[in-house]
This record gives sequence, structure tokens and C-alpha cells, in this order.
Amino acid sequence: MSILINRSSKVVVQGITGKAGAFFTRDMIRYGTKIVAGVTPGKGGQICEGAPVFDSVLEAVEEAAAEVSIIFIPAALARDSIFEAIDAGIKLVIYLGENMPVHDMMVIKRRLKEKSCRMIGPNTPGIISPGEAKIGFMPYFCYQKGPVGVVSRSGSLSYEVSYGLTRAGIGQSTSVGIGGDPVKGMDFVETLDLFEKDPETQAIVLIGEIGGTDEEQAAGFIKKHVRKPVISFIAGKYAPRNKKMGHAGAIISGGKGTFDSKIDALRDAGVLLAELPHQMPALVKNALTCRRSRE
Amino acid sequence: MRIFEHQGKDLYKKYGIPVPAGRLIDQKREIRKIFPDIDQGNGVVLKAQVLTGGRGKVQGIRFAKTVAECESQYDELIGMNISGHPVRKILVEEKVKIQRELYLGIIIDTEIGQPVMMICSRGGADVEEISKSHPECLEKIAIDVAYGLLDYPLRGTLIRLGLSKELFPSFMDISRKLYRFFIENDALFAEINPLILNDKGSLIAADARIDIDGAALYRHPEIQEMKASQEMGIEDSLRDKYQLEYVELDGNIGLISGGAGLTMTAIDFMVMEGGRPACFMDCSANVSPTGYEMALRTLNSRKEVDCILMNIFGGITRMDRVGEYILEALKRIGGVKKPLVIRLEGTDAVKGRAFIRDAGLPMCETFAEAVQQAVALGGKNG
Repeated sequence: MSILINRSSKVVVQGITGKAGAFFTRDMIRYGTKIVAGVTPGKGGQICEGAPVFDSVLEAVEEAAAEVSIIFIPAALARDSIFEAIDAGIKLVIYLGENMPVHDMMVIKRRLKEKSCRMIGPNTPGIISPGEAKIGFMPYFCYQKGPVGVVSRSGSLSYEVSYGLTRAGIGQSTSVGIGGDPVKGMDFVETLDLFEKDPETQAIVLIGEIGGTDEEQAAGFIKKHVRKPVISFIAGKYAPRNKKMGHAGAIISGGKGTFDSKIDALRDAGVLLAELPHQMPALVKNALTCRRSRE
Repeated sequence: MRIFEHQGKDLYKKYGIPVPAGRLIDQKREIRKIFPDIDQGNGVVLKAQVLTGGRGKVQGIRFAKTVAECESQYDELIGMNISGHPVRKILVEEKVKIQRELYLGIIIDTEIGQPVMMICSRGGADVEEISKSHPECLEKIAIDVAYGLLDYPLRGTLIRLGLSKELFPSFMDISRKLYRFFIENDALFAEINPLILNDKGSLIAADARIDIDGAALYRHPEIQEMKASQEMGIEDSLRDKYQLEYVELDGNIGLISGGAGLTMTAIDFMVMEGGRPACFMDCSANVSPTGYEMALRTLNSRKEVDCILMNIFGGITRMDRVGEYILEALKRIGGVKKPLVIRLEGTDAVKGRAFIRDAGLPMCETFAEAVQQAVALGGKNG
């Protein structure tokens, strides 16, 4: 098993006839992802990359039983496309693009809540359940099927860490890129909850970075609700400080968001910490062995 | 995108938020002309226009009672350097008689992904410290963007903060206007600090600190134009023209990387190995010959940089292309003077590495190897 997506997940590609849409559709099909439909308004009736193209997401849901949508639409137009997917009854929306206005994302977040829909992104490589399906543009060779759930804010770091695990013979159940934007769809907590409940996932790798309070929230959740071992790397110990925020930023963060604050919170929650990514495989292997011997 | 105080005040004014009478000047002779209009018998205040906070603590704000005083303060302020920002323009304003200073701000609370309004009954330069030492002076109102700012939580907040009832209507009015400004202009934060209660019992926005979402500037042409009046440092111009995220650091090892997380990790790694990074440089938004060319040119021209580490892990981008782009960039520059350490990983990395090796450049196999080699080179020359 995996979380959120597997080989039978029925996927619709919004913007399938565009250059990026068509390119990554081919890439995803090659990996085994079940692309059941594409959507480009005005191009309904065509076939693109072997998938029927519809004018609207609603038609893709009704006629091709699409459940998951990946959207290849420029950031300036993405809000409308994401609303369309949510309103059509899609259960998981994935948006990889960068530069989505934060205010658009705040409005989308409200709609997601109202319709009990999940979203991954923006600003992420997407999600992959190795050996099952990938919805996103991560390089497939970094991954192999296995017992480790990976969740990351940074795309580039998730490749680096997953590739390290794969080379050490440690596979992954699912790797979720929650994305680097301040306001996003799924967060660490929601993803950790799914990994904790997934019988196949035996250990969880959490890749964080300085800024925001995602890691502190994750630590709070782990302490209360996660029994599986969690191994973490936080980037930015020596990163230049962001001097941009006004008083408001300092007041609202209340001292959270720093490297030390994150490390303290995670350590307090019993999370195993790596100083650098290449130390992760050994820590994960050890955690898996301990867990097996305990059971 | 940060905007100057005077630009922010112009925007607030458009939304009906009261601001002091004032004029922006960059020539001393203007003082004589504007002083009588601005001075309301109480003198004027001169405020250095810089895109950074904390100017009050380094004498970036001055007071004057006469034209002569104002001119001599102008001379001292103009050209002054405030945290690396030169003062080019000065906002001369009427001095408001202060009865009380409050704080009002709106920011995005990333924990809930919605805006939050913050009100502090003791505003001013020390508001951050006060919010810690006197938490009872600070109130937060979570806002749901679907419904906007409601009256009842705002009213409750003002009661808890102990503000006098006569102030409620004008405070609520300014709060609603600030929220409308925040939403309509894609602000990341909008602050009024201090929000002054003057001797006549009116509220006036004595400062405006605003950050507008750069990703949304396309729908705010008038704010985008303000950018033209801002001086661009090397960091801003690389970001605006070439989509390179660049932050200068004071070390001697140049870094060219892809992805913010991996770039930060490379910096962490270098420091742990005893190296001193010269920058944060994330090229992931512009993987092209020009992107690498500008990154290499920037670091090649910095005297203190002794070597350059290129660490690229490509997901979307094929690494054979990246290899070609790097070679093309080097060709355009005519080669770099500093030693290069390169590590390429990702889709088609084998081909990419072969391109680099065939061009006679050394390649590293792993992240660790690349960092250690760069640190060794940095140490040798630095």
C-alpha cells in the first residue's frame, strides 16, 4: 500500500494539450500512472497522449471517473483551474507551479476545506508511490518501492535524500512534496497522519527547512499521535537570515521558525535528527531494524 | 516587494486612512518652499526613506522647528547609510502631537493559511519587545478570507485592550480600510506603526510598512511602477532580470546550486566542513546558458571568491542539457579565473558529466566529495 495515490488512481491532466502538460503526461504514463482524461477548454473530443480530452473537469469526472487532477496551467490562471477541479468533485488536486499568488492560495484553502478536498502544492515536484504511480515531475530513478514514507518541503532535497535511501537499498512507500510556499495545501501534519495509518509505511522521513512553523507543528503532532519512527533533516542551520519581515513577522512567529526552535521541538518529540542528508540512510536503516526487532 | 514609506502612505491615503501632511524631497532648496505648508506650529519631522526597518534607532528620523533647522537636519540625513541602504529621499511631515501610540498590522498566519490582524495598545519602535514582555497588550484576530474582517471580534479586541469607547468607530474604520487595502493589493503584510492618537483625539497613520507579493505584481501595474524608483542592488537585479535567487555572504567559496533546500544544505555542509560560503545562489528558476552565465559572471568578478562550487541535482531538467548549458556559459564568459568544482546528478547525469569531463573540467561523484574539494580549495587560497 501507499498513501494518496497508487496504480489504480484515475488521473485527469488539466492543460494536457499544452507543451508541459503533454510532456509530463507521457512521462507519467511511462511510469505507470493511470491517466484517464485530459482537459483543455475548447479541445473536447480530441485524443492527447492516448487520453480523451474534455472541455471541463466535470466531464472528465462524469465520463472517465477521474479522481485525481494534476494541473499544468500558468500561476496567473491556476486559481480558476484549481476551483474547477475542487468543484467537480476531484478528491486530490496537485499543482506543481511556482509563483502562485499567496492571496489566491488563501482563497483556495478555504474552498478545499469546504469541499473536503486535498491539495498538494503549489511549488512542489508532486507525489510518487514508487512502483505504483507518480503524479509530478520527480526523476523516477531516485525511488524504489519500500517501507519508508518521505515528506518534504523542498523538492531538490527530497530527490537527494530519496536517492540516498534508494542507493542504500531502502525503498519508499510514498514520497510527498508538500511544497515550499508559505500557504499550501497538505502540510506535514496531514501527511504524517496518513503515513502513521498506512500499514506498509514503517518509518517516516521528514525533510524540513528554516522559516515558517511547519516543523514545529509537525513535532507537536508526532509527540501526540505518531508511533512510527520519524527521521528528520532540517536545512538552513547556517543560512543567511531573512531580514525582510516587518514587526508583524517577528510578532506572529514568536521566536518560532528558527533552526534551533525546529530542532528543539523535533528532538523533544523523539525524532531522530541527521546533521546532513547523507547521514539519513544509516539512521533510517537503524530505525527500521529496531522497529522490526521490537515487534 | 517592499515599498517606501511615502509610497505606502500614498496608497493608504487612497483607501481613506488618515496620514500626516507631508512632502517627499530630494533637494534642499525645496524645504524653504514646503515648510510653511507642512509646519502646523509644532515643527516638522524628517524621515529617511529606506527599505529597511529600525531607522528610528539610528537617527534616521529627525525633528526641526525652523527652516534652518530643517535644512541642517536634511544635510545630515541625506546620503546617510542605514543598514546598507543609502538615504536618497526624505519625507518631511507635520509633527503630530502624540497622546498615545498604537500598533495595527495584518499579516498572513502561515499556520492556518489565512490573514491575521494584530493590534497592540502600545505601538512604536519597541512593539516586538512589548508583545513579549506585555502579552496582554497584544491581540490577534484570525480572519477568514471567505468572509472578511468581521466587526464583533474587532470590537471585543478593543474592549479587552481597554481602549476608550470614543475611539471604537474610527479604529474600526481604519482597520476595515487596512484590511481592504491588504486584500486588494496582494499584500504579504501591511503595518501601521505607530498608529497615533493625536491631541485632538483622531487616529493618524504615522508610518506605513508594506510588502506586496512579487508573484502578484502582474495585476498591480501601479505598484510595479514603484519598483522603478527603487535602487536595485546586485541581488535584486539578478532576481528581477534573470530569476536567480542570490544572497551575498562574506566567505570565499562561491556556490551555484539548484533549489532553495539543496542550496541551503550546501551552505550548511560547507560550514560544517570548515568552509566559508560566499553566497546563496539558487538557479533553479532559470536553467539556461544565460542563467549559468550570469551566475558564473557574478562570482567570477567577486575578488574575495577563491573557487566556485556548482552542485546541481536535476529533476525536471535533463542533466545532459545542464552540462551543455554550463559549457556554453563558460564559453560566453571566456572561461573563469577561479577553480571550478562541479557535481551533476539527476536525469541523464552520466551524459552531462561526460560533456563536462570531455571539456577538460574536473567532476565530482558525490555531494560530499564536491563540498570537501571546494572547502579544500577555499582553505588553500583563503
